[in-house]
Amino acid sequence: MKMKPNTKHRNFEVSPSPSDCYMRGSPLAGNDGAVPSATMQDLEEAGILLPATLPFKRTQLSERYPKGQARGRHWKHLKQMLQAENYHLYPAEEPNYMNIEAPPSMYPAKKYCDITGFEAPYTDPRTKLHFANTDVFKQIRSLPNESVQQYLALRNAQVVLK
Amino acid sequence: MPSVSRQDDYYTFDASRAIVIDNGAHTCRVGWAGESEPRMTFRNVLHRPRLRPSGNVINIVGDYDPTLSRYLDFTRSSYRSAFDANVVYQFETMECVFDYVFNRMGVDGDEIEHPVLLTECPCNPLYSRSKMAELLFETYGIPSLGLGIDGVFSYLQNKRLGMCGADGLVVCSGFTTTHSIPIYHGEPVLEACCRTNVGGYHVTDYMKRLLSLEYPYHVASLSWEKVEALKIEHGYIAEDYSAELHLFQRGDKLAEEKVRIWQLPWVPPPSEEKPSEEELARKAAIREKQSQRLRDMAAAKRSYKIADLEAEIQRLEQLLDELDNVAEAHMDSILAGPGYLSRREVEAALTKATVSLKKAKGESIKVEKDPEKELDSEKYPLLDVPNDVLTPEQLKEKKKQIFLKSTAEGRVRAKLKRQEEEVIREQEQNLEEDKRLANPEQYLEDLRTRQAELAAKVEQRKRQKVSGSSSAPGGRSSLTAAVGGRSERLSAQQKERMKLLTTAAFDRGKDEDTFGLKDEDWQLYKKMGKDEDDDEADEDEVVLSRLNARLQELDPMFNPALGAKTGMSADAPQIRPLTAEDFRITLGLERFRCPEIIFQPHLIGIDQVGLDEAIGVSMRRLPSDWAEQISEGTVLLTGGNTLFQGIDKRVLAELKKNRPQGDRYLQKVTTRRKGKTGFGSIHLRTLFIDKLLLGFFDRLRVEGGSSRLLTLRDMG
Repeated sequence: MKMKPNTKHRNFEVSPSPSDCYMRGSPLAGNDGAVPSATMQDLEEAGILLPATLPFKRTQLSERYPKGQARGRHWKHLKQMLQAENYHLYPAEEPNYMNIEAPPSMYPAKKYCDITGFEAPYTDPRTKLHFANTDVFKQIRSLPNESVQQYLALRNAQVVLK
Repeated sequence: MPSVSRQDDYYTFDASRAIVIDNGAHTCRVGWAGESEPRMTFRNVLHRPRLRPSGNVINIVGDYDPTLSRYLDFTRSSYRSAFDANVVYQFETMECVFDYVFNRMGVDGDEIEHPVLLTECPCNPLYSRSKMAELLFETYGIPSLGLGIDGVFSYLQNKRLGMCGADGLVVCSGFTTTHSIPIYHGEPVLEACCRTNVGGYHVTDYMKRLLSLEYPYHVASLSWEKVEALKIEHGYIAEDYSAELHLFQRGDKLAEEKVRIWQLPWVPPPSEEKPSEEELARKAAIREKQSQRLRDMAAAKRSYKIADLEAEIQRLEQLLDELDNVAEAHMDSILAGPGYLSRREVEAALTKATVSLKKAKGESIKVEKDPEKELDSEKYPLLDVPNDVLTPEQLKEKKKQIFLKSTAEGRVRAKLKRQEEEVIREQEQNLEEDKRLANPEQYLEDLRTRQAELAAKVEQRKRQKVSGSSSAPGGRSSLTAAVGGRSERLSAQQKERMKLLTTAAFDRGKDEDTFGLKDEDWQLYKKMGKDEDDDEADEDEVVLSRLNARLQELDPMFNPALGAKTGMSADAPQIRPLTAEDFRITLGLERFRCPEIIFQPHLIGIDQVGLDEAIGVSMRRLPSDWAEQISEGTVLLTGGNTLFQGIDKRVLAELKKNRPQGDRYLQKVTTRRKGKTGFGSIHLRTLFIDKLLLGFFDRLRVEGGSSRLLTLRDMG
């Protein structure tokens, strides 16, 4: 076993700093003349890429999911998982993923204006949008149907054609 | 940002020290047990961009540095997460993440010798748990594995630090879900756990959609990452939602202070400088020269034309002289040469040429009507001859000549009428000008009122067409019903027409349709009358537009868009030039409206209790004696989604509201910043878990089955 010097460990916070990264213009596809073509080695050294084979793994990624084959598209989604769990076969008092789900609220839902966000005493019968005063109502009546559905979709009340 | 470099001190830790992996849906934190800070924190996603030169696809875990796009092509990759809600379902992605984790922790040798402590969601489905264990044991060969709930670990850590007692409640609000778990004697009571499906993802998503609807022109700037940053920086939770709303509704000064404005990058268009004196003079000189050149060209052309005409006239005169001098018989042959049929024609040509010459020279023209009158009788020789004398061919000739004559006369009449109209219009314009000069204010007023009236009329007609004519008399209702939905667009006139047509067609009887065989049937159309409505509308619109133009010239304040509000509102902003204000996104209400969905999920249509009520639900699900003890404890708020300002005050206020009076309930509410989710407590725990787990999971592998409940309680 090699004895490595006890260098002080550093804490790396790899959290996004939005002001830096996203305010700048996106540097996509802007080829500036001589772009050095990076090889896998360069990237590995830069610390971005992992080596293709890792010594501590028993089976490598490339063996398990060979290129070209459908890469494990058969993963079960949560809904399928829960169905397969068969919770109804177990006693109902024992907590499981479905049991601990929260019930609907006891209190009646307060209505808020869909456009401005204030409290909304009124509802437009044609579009079913809640609104706070007459100015907002005028705005609602001049909206195209697409916008109306988008506003409704904010609170999951849009018309869905099956 | 730079990705994490490999840790150097992997070898300093002995084999019993566990690696702790906090596997969250948003971020993954990895560290050593016993340390207070995690070694690595990264977003728990996987990117699969292509390498530019080779086109191979590589995996990158966590956030990537955008400058890397020099080497990598990110256009077709979208990030993948191993999570579906808060449950891991995609283990291939998970494997890539673990690769990254272990590699960066410095694992070098043939196997990982340290036990691993992993966090999962409460009541993780068995399938996910077993797959995870399989992955870690089979592929990575770790010695032992521990699974636990992240919120509970955090509570235990805080208990060690003295912030919470042995009994209390932890509320963990994550990326996709929020859990409320009571803790009794240091153990979580999972039977009383309550999960609401609202998390940080929903808050960011709500904010993004809201801002996109309010600022449709800036949708491109509102990327997911940017909105998340906005949420983190500016979101807060109002202590009393209704009160805050009223504050903003009143336009209070406090509300003004709370509004944050985000100015998007905007470059004002370069303002045009007034051209200097010399510029103007130079341009004027150039224009002068050009016009001079044109004038010269025109003069040259005119001189050529004059010369030609003079030559023509001379020729014709010569011809006439010849004709005079020569005898009758030779006239035809001489005429046949240049192509004229009679002497009259020659003379006509001559007069035409002289007239053109005079026009070209710019002299006045005497209108000669007399030659035309004479020409009448010559041109139409057959007109005066009575019909019975003529042969059929000559009759045809006569008809042709009548026709020609009438058209010629018609043309003359039309010209006269046009001249008269022009005179009248000139007179009107002069009158208008006088009126304007006499009393400009009054004139403008008149114009404006006329424009307003006309605009209103046009508007009304448009609205009628769209929303159905309210003036339809009751008797026509049967007809409208028959026509169906289109009836609302027909006016009274059109309805009349339809009625006539249908009754006419109907009268004939059902067997044969004999409409149209007789001529009288077509008289029907005369009865109907023309569709005047449209013509009227067009006329009105023409007059309206003319008035608009006139008003715009004269009145600097006039804005035609004011007259028609509907339908022009989308165009109006484009008329005036864009200012810096158009590129500002204002976050006023949204600052506290979006995080509010944690407390009121019905704002986005999720029909579940909010965070405050969830605490109540958990308490209700507890056995009563435990509930008493827990209610004297502390509520701990953990999880990234609880980092909003003001959330603790809000939770306290809500609890005070909802619990029965006199309940000494949950007095203290503390929050914990994310990152310190109980790594310290793991140190103690691993000593116990290790041995148990070693045995436990060995059994797993041998038997191939798995136990359903792997709670912390079981592991002791």
